[in-house]
Amino acid sequence: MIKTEHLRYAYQTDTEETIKFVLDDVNLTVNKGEFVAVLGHNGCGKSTLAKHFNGLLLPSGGMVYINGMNTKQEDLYQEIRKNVGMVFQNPDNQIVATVVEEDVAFAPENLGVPSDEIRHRVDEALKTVGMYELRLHAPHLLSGGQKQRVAIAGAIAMEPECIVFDEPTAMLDPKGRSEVIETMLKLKNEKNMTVVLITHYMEEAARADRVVVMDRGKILRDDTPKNIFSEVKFLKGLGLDVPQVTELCYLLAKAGIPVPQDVLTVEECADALMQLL
Amino acid sequence: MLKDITLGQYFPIESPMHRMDPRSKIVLLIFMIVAIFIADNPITYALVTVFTLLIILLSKVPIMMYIKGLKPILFVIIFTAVLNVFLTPGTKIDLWGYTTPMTWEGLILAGKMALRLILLIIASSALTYTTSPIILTDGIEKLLKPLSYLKVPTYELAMMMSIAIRFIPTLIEETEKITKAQQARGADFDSGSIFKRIKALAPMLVPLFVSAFRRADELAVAMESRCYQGGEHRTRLREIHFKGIDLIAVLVFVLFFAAIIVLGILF
Amino acid sequence: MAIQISDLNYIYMAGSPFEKLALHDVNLTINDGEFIGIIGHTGSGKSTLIQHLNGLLKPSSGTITIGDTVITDKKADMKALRQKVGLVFQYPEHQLFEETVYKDIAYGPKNMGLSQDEIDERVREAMNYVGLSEKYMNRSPFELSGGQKRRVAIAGVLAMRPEVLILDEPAAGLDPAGREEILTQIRALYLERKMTVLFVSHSMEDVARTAGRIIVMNKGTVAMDGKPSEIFSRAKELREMGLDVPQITRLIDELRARGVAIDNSIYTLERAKATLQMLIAKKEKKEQGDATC
Repeated sequence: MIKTEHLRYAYQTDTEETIKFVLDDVNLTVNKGEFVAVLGHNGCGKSTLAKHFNGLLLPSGGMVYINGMNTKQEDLYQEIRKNVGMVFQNPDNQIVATVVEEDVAFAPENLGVPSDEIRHRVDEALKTVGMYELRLHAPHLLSGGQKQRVAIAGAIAMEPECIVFDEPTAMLDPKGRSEVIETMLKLKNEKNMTVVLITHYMEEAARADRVVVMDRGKILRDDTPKNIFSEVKFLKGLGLDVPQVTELCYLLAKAGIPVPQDVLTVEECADALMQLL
Repeated sequence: MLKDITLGQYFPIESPMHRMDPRSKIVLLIFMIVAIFIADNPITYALVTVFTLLIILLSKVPIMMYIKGLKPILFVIIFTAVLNVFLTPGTKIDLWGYTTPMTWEGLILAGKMALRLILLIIASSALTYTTSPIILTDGIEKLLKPLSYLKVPTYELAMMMSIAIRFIPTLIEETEKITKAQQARGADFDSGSIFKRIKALAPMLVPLFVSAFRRADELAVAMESRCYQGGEHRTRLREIHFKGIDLIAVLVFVLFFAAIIVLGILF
Repeated sequence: MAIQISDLNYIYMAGSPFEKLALHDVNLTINDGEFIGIIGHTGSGKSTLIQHLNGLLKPSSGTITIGDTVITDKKADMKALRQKVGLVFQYPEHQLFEETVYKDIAYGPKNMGLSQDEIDERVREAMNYVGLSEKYMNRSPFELSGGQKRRVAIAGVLAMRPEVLILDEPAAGLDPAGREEILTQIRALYLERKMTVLFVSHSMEDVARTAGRIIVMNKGTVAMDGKPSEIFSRAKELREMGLDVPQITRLIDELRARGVAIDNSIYTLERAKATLQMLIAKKEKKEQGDATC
């Protein structure tokens, strides 16, 4: 679905002479139907990477392929954007229209989809994210989580194969956060969509099929959540967190108690501890 | 405060007015305004008033919403009325044996002006309450279409307008937030000389502009991600059509307009 | 400074069709020098409550006393109040406006009418508190990173030397390292300046780490008020209010549900580790004892 080969991205700042590499030799493959989380602290290059997935940014070096299409090929950019939907951090700044359903219709309208078909897509998309009842509401009166679901519906209405979420929960409260994560999982499980989640929240990354850890523009790890989070010391060194139960098991093991190192959830942790208690 | 301004707010319900083509609503509103201003005798006034009430009924928007819409201009109405009452030359009004500076002619003129203003606001509100901003801009764009042959970017203008409308509530909220934040740092927006007050606005305006630019940037990226490429080949969720209901509305309106003119000449 | 809130009610947009009772029957006593965490989901009234504490909102009824001043009194001096009660809003970096970091931080003290020397001293002190080195002083705040901007904004409030410091979600949107840094600095500041701190958050984990007392807001009123251990032992109620409890609390609950006798007031990683270690050691000893018999 998405493939980057030796991707580099640099930008020159006005004040400094030096060229800074925001992305440095990034090789990443996201397969169809996969849920991949890209984890890293602010400024590690993860959002820059996301913007390469639909051609918003073009590589300074290396290549990015979306379903085999090179993002550098100018005549394909619209086709690529249609295939990769994007959801951004600030829910207010990605809603164009004053009525929910008209906002969701924005992308298909741009693509020249006939009216009847737009109606159908908009209704479907709103039902998928559970916002159909509020389709005639004004977006500015919705909660953060609801606005983000509208933005997701707006992306789904393009009928993309993949949606890239660029820190979609950073500005939400816990309730909004779980609404967005559940919607994301639903897209993956029920609609078979490919999901890429850019985040610095480890609880969210733990729900993915694969976690990619980035730091200073490089990919440091690319593995299953279980394997990634068992490296407590490594993640903490990068300024990242691990789930509390994972850290608990890590601390217990360090104290010589035989507990597994790859627990991610409360249930798994309780299971492991019950063996000893 | 700022949130109370209702003019320009869409009221999402179903009604005959909601179903109408925005183009016919805009054109009819223009003629309605003309009618309000040519009405000049009791009969024609009564007619435009009744017609306005009919519009309120057909829009199915609660009358309270219209009254709320009048609130911000209440001051203007009262102010012009007072000026008219005192400044119009004519027969002075006698009250309890005193001759006041008010005139009967002034009183009548004030009443007429107030009524006109009120009807004007109600008729305009009826358009914005029953037409979502996107459809309204669609309508304006279509009406301005002839201009695009003169290389006027009508589509882009319409898009700009609808985005501006979309961001009004967001920016109002932001203004309130920033004002409070600066007040918490001891800002004083309402005392001192005019010059001082204007200077005191910088801590509010600068962050507001910075945030507006940031929003514009992010919005542009989000729009691009959703395949925005200007007005060409664009379709609509709701294509606007001139329907039967529009024909009926136009016919009724033509009758009404003719009646205003005829009655205006006769009486 | 102590804060006393009695029978506070606040009606939002009174008299309009959108009228809403945003706060009702709020009664609280906050003692001088307490570090309090206020939690609640969006719309629970927590932000409305803190805006009352420096007079940005006026209560519909009820009284608030801060120190010796009844701030709900019509004659109360709001300017003096806002110097004593510093309020850091959510995403405070959005309020930066000056050309340089120095000038921006100096805005509050300048409004207080202080002398140039005094302002200078306070700006330097505030920058020091938030860990900004002096080399940033003449930089434009708009060129800084997100985390640095936030620290400039917080310094802008600290430079007024408030006796009560209120922070609304100071760590929102920051990554784990940035979060940790801000929270540590606030904690250090509290210990050094001995001010009263009110810290609003919807992250239970952050509150659990820092506060000595927690106030839970729900539906416009105070739902719980007590020490963190007391609050977290009521995990079920918290979750019913739509709040997230720390994973450790959920683990302890799960273990108790499976029949392990473990103290339900544990909410930190360190205590959980120590307690579990002890329980496991006890069990081993017992098994060894059983084996030798």
